[in-house]
Amino acid sequence: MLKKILLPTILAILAYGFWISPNFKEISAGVAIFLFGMFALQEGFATFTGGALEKLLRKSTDKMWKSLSFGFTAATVMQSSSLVSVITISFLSSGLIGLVEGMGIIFGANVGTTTGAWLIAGFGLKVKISAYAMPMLVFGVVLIFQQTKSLKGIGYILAGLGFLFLGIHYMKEGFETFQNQINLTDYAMEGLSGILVFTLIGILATIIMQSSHATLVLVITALSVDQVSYGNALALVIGANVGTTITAIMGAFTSNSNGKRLALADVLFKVAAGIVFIALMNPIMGLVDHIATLLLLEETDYTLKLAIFHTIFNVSGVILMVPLINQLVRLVTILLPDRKTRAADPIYLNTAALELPDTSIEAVRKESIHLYDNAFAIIAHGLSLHRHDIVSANDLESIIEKNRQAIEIDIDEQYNTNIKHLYGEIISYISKAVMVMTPDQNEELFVLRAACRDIVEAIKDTKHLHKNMSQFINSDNEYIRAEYNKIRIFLGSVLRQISEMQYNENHPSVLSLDTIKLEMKQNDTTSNGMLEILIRQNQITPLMATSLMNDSAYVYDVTKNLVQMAEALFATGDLTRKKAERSIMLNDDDVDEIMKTTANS
Amino acid sequence: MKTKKLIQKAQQLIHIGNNEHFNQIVSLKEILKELKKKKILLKEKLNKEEDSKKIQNIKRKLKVISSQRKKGLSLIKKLKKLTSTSD
Repeated sequence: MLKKILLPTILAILAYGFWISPNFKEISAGVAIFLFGMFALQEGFATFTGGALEKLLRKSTDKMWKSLSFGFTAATVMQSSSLVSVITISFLSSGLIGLVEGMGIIFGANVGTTTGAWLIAGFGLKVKISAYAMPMLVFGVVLIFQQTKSLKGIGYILAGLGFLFLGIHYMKEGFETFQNQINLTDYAMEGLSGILVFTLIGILATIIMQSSHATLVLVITALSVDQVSYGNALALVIGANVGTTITAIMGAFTSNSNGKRLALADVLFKVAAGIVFIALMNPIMGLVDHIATLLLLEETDYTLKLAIFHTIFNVSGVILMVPLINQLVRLVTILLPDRKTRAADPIYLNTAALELPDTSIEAVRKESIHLYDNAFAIIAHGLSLHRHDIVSANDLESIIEKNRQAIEIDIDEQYNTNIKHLYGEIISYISKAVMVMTPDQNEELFVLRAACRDIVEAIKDTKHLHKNMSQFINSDNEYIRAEYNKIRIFLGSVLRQISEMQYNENHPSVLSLDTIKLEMKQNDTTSNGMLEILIRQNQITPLMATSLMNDSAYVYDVTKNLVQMAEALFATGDLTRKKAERSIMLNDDDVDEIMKTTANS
Repeated sequence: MKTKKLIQKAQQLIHIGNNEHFNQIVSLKEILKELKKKKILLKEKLNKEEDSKKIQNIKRKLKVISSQRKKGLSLIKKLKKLTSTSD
């Protein structure tokens, strides 16, 4: 209900404001153009996030100082700590970085964002920036119309910067004319109540505009033309810093527990710093004056003093929080404990990562491995084997010799409980992710989707296999029992080899899995003559023979699906390497060719 | 004239550097090298092995590697042809 009336109310207030005050219209247009510039800038950067930014982020966060520096640089270049926060949350949710590294980036970004205040206060208001805006807009728009992706990206960045500058220009003009009619400083509030009210206004303005930068520009321009008192402007800056966490909070809505924890850590950091700064406002103002004197600034240069205050706010917050980062991690983990998730709930798929191709591919890969983990239990039990036996180093033959009792399992029910929902979620995520991918990245997603289908097919084939297997592994006929145990040993060894690949970081190339394809053909009872011998010597009944024939086909399919899946999910290296490996993997014809040459020799 | 030729050669090089086929050839060569190393190790292992089951297993691995290498080499040949015709 509130949502329904909020937008019309805001629009009505704005329309009324435009009607009664042309200056208000100019300032609002400035804010709107500024925000549009931010969108264009983000669009431009998104063009270049097709791998480069993500790879850089992954490499640049293995140490705290690196995380801090990366956050600082990224926020300085992008001029948006919110954008960096959202990207970091998506990285964290996809499991690419840890919570501590994520916090490092966000803290660094908070310091990086202070460069914006310096740029606006030191450069933006002293130079006629609209003079720079116009050529930027023209060049930007010309480039946006180009076909090449990178030129388009540069175009968006230039247009974005142009709009940012133009927005600042309009805001400044609006405030200057406004100054001649009304003096907002008449409404200035002194004391603690003034600080609290203006902090709240700063928070609200930032939440509405979704940008602390926009609030800062507004405050600095208003301050430069004496439309707001210096003390109230500082409170507005505190509010803007607290309010900027809204983007991270919104980004965390769709993320997993770690993403939410990071957003909470950001909120705690900003709120704590805000409370400390409100409590110590007077001594901090003194410190700002002292630094301003050291920098040889004039007593009345309030805009640059505001930039100093903004920097002290974020830098001191980071200095205080970095040594306490582990305690902060513990606190947010206690406040936001892990939800008890069902096995079929996705862990890594988060919508914030959809804009980042490499991250979303990694998220899909990890989720597909999660799907395989669920399937592993079903397939193992379908073969009447325990998971711990498969992953152990014990001899499979002796394990199977001891386990003659079939494990009771309803594979259909297990599929519905642990697989179906997760499989659907992965497929739906992939269909959204392909929108922003290059052909190579699309191909990778296609391979991962096929791997998920292979997992599901392997379960379905195991279901068919399970029926006869649970009957024959306990049969009095030693021949049929031996044949089905051979199948169990073979499939158990396939699962074991895949587990070794999954859990051993220095595992051999996925190409080694091709050996299984050859082994599978060589061991096929129906084609290696074993079935004929068993029938001819009356060792098994014709009914048993047909069951074995059908089940050999299922074994073939389960193996083929599992190998294909493992080759897709556990391949390492970049996309070119994966593609090259896939191009020399053996197909059915290649395996038949080896079989032929072996038979001839 | 010489400078023009030099520029053309440099352009060709830059073009090849960005070429998808070229990158794939580099990756394939790297993989084939690794496979060759593995093949040598397996042959050494085969000479020392006495268990018949293990011997069979190693032989199987060797056959697979040979087939993969054969496939890789013919693919490199094809890609090289494609690269030279596109230039």
